[in-house]
Amino acid sequence: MQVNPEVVTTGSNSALPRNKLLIAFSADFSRKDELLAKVFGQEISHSSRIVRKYCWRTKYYSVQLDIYIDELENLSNWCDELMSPEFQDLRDVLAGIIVVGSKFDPDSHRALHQLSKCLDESMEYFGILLTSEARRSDEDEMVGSFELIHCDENESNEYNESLGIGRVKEVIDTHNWDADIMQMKQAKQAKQASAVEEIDCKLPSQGFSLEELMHKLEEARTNYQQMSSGPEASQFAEDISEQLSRCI
Amino acid sequence: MTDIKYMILISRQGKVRLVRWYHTFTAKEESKMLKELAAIVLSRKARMCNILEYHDHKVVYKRYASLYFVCGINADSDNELLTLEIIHRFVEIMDTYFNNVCELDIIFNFAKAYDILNEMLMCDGSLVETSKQEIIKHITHMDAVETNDNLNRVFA
Repeated sequence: MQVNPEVVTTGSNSALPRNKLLIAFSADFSRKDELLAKVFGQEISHSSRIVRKYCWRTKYYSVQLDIYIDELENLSNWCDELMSPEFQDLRDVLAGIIVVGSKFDPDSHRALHQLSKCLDESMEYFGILLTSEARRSDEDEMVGSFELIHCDENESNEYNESLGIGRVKEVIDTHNWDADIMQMKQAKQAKQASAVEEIDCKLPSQGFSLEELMHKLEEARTNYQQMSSGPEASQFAEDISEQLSRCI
Repeated sequence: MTDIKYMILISRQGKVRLVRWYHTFTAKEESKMLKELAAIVLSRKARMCNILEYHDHKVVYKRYASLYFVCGINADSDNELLTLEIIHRFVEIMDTYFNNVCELDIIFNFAKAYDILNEMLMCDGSLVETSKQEIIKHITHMDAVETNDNLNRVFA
């Protein structure tokens, strides 16, 4: 395992955020860069080894990840290595593990079962086993705590279920990231700001009529109702009331 | 007549996203059932039956995208197919409300998902409303009341 020397620090890692994503490519998997580009949407070369502060965005939040890229010759040996005590520091900061390969034999599955048992005791993480093999009707969808995903499938099917790379993205999206590393999206605030601005522009610069003021209040109420409740909506209402009082 | 004992949403990664108990269980029983049911349901293959026996009752489950909807029902008095219909109706309503619902929507709007469930099933697990339009109307009305309350509080 080649990522370890840069990761291991002395002492406990309990204060470090659990925001590292370990991607291990099997040596026989040839489309490493293509797969990284599909998942992360930008040029990440597998030769980078470590990509720091990659921003993962969803419609609700964004989170900064460190991506560690590794290459493995033998999955069983790689799992044994990851389970060893000297990799405790790495395990403490891992949020997810993605193992990618062309084909996995029963020994690989056994190794992942053992790794799952070892990891389950200590950490909140997600595991993905990504393969370029075709789906079999009788296969298990989970290998230990690793979800088996077929990377060559379409991103979604006719029922809008996520498959292939789409499912990989969904697993990352729905992971329970530490609250202190998540940045919640402020889309509503942007909407609120533009709505306040709109009302502001429409208010007369000099003088006012009661009728016009009531109309503005109605407009503000309509805008407010389109927002979800919470601090953003309250802030919007306060801004509007301040502007109206200025006009009066 | 339905007598649902619980409704649980479990992700394919084994994480419980929603849980509503309609019968009384001890905390220990609840925790044991969540653990066991997640393991049982997730280990079942796609072509296996969606109904299984579990302790003194039956479990009816259905997978939608990355989520398993799991219901415990009375083995003698409940209808398994009707339970599947209730699950499907719950999914349809969430799909309409969230406009193509996904697991992330449920995680970040779990209170709304519970509200929808509360409109459908009473606290004893019996079905109280089947109309999608009615439930959506109630939920949007609740949203409007909530935002109006906030606005009135600020302008008061």
